[in-house]
Amino acid sequence: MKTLKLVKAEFIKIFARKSTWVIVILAALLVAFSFASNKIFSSVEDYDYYSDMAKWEIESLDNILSDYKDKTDNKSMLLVKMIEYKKSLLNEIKDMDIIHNEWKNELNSEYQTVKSNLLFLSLLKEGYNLSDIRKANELMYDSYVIEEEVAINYETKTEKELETYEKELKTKANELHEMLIGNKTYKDYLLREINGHKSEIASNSKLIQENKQEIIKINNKQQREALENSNKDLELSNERLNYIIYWKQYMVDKKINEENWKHSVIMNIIDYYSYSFKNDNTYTEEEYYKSDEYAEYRNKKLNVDYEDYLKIKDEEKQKVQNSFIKNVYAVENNININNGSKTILKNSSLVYQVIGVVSIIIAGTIVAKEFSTGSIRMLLIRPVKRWKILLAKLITTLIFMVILTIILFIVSFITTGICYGFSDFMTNDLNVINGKIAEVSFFIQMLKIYSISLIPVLFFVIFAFAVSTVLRSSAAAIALPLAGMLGGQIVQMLFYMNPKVWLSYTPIPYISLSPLLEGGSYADMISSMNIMYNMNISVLNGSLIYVILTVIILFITFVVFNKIDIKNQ
Amino acid sequence: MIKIAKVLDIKNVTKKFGKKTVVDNLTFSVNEGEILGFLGPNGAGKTTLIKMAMGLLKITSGKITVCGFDIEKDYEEAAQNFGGIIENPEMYSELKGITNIQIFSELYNDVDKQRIEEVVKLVGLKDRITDPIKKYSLGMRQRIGLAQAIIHKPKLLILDEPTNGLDPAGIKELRDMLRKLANQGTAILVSSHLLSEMELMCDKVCIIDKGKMIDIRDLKEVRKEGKTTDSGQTFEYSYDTNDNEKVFKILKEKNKNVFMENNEVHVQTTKSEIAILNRELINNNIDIYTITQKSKTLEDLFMETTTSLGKGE
Repeated sequence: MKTLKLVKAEFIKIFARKSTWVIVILAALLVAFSFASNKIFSSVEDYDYYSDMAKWEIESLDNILSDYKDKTDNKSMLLVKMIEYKKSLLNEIKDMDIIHNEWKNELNSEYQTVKSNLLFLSLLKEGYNLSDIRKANELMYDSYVIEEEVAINYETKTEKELETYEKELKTKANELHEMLIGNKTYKDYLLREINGHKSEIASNSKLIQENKQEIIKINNKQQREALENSNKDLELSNERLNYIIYWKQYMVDKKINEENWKHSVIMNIIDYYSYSFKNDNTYTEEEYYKSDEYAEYRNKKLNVDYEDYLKIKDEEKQKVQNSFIKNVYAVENNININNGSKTILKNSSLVYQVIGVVSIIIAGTIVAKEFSTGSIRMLLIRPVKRWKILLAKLITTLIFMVILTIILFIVSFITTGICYGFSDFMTNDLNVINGKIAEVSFFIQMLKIYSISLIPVLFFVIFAFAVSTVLRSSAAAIALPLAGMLGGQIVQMLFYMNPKVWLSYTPIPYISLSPLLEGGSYADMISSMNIMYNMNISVLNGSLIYVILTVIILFITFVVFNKIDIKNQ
Repeated sequence: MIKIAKVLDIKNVTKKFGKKTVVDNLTFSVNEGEILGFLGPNGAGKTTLIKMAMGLLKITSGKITVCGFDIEKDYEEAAQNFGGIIENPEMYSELKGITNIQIFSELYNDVDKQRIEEVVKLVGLKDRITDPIKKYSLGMRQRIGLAQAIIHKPKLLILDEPTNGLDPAGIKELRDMLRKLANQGTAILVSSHLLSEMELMCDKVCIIDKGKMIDIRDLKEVRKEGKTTDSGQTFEYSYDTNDNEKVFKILKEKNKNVFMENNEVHVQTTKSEIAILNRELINNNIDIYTITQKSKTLEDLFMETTTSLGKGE
């Protein structure tokens, strides 16, 4: 009963101070600003990088040109020719609208290559030799990327074949130019890609047929096996290409452009799908012990046997599989997991740090200030046991932290909603459990994320409270936990770069828990790291360490406060 | 005989900070309705003892009880029965006076709104009680300090330097208030360095130095001393006459303890002896304007006891 009255009194004291209001308001503003900042600054960014680069390159080429323009020797004339050609190409870029357009940028580099090849071909035809061309290119600071293919074609092909080759290049260049300067859209780009994939599939199929006919004829077992293997690869490649075509066609049909969140999710799906194929090259036991991977483990003095290796591979595959499932589910069910309001809110760790800093300031002053002003004497002569007074202060600190969390969550929620839309919050969040998708209400998911992320913060707040009580100095009580919470994150990062087993029993791997949660920066490496280093890092173990430390710290704090002599300050 | 209850009972109390003994085996008590002055030079251990009596410092050895409750074992019951001010009454300066009082009063049993109003009126802060404490003068802070000390009608009131910052009128008010409380049965322990104040305020004084008890005395007896017939005790007398030089000479011849100060002759002697000297001076044709017997003040007592101890060492 008296403890409750003391809690009430503590709140009156905290909120009577203007400084409390100031830091809470500042914290709210900081959080709001951090969520709004992307929106605010993205509209300012309108810098035409490519045309600026082109302008700059033309200038530097002009400088070289002025030195060689009037010379009449062969080599100088070659250089002048190459420079003029490059300049005309660069001038074309300036007129193309390739800012913020990844696909146009990709096409542009393809266009540049084709045009360079055309130039080399014509230069070779004119009788310049390759080494002179190379030297001229060096003088131009390697403006061109010279493809050996052109020179080889020039030397090996007949005149007629060469003509067709040149024609092909020209058609391709024209087509690319058309795509770049016309009012073509992303859809056109996708259709072009699909066509490319389709022709690749066709040529693969042709090759497969040829191989099959070959296989029947060949008697040599080894050769036959090699062909069969190559056919297997080709078939897999076709399967992959068909899958990619499916998604690209999906984007065309659903009119998904580059700005749509689904675009990047689909790109991820394609990556994950390709990765699962690439990753199918698991070593056999014999191969593994001879591999570089094993040598590297031995180098680091890690004992990773074949069984562990298989486990690591399995974990990796599982992770890719989970992400794959999740991304497909998201696109099909229209749940934005990429850059919607939800994701922005989920991935901000600044909120936890702000909650930490403000709560540490409160926890660090709540006891120490009574000592520094001398009011502790007035408080401790009441008919209440000392531990009850301390408990009331601890409860007050924790309630304050909860209130602050709610305030800052509401601020982040509203700011994010205003900047990126509220509708995204209504859709559910996705969890993958044992390879199956589970939909979770966004708010329940947030509650879970906040609770876990705030465990270390809570520990540092209690630590501040303990220092505030035992050392009776606000400065130390604020500085030490802040250093631990903020500086500790650097130590945590160093740990994940170079893990030490004994450190896994300390709070160091858990200074901040949000990077260990799904999607966090350390989340993906934990399971394989645990196997490699024979550790047991998990959110649960981290929480356990904090619980044990908190119990010890609070025990010491209460014992000390109960026995302490209240001397003159 | 009425049995006088010991409200505060201090028995063989010692306090050590590390190896340093600050309070050394003190024993005394404050009875119901009694005002005890607690005297001693700076660093004598007054505040240390007061802090032990209010549970702020742990007792190294010995025992302190308030209304029979052991201060360490039954702290909550003991604290219900005392109130006080230690050093300066530091309250929460951002909060209003009334809020401060409310916060503390909630921690006692049976303090209602009416009682709070009554006490605020009693200490004379009715008009300023809704101001934050940081706007209070030192005297007002003493008043609000007193208010929080008596809000729960404690049987024991402990005041450390309560006259700090009070004007003469305030001091008089405080004195009257304490007397009134004592008459109602409250036991009061007051520490102060203002000896003249203590003299007017207290029934009894307890003098300590370097943590040790030096003297405990009933002030009524101190005041009485020197007003009775000759007890053989030596007093100091001063003479103002038409020829002080001559008086000095005569007294010197008599081999008395004589000295001149402020153009007056001072002599230390007994009562019966001074009558003989007076007669002799008149016989020598000296006109005596005044003879003053210096009465013993608390200050004399204090100086006597503390310095004699100093010499003894």
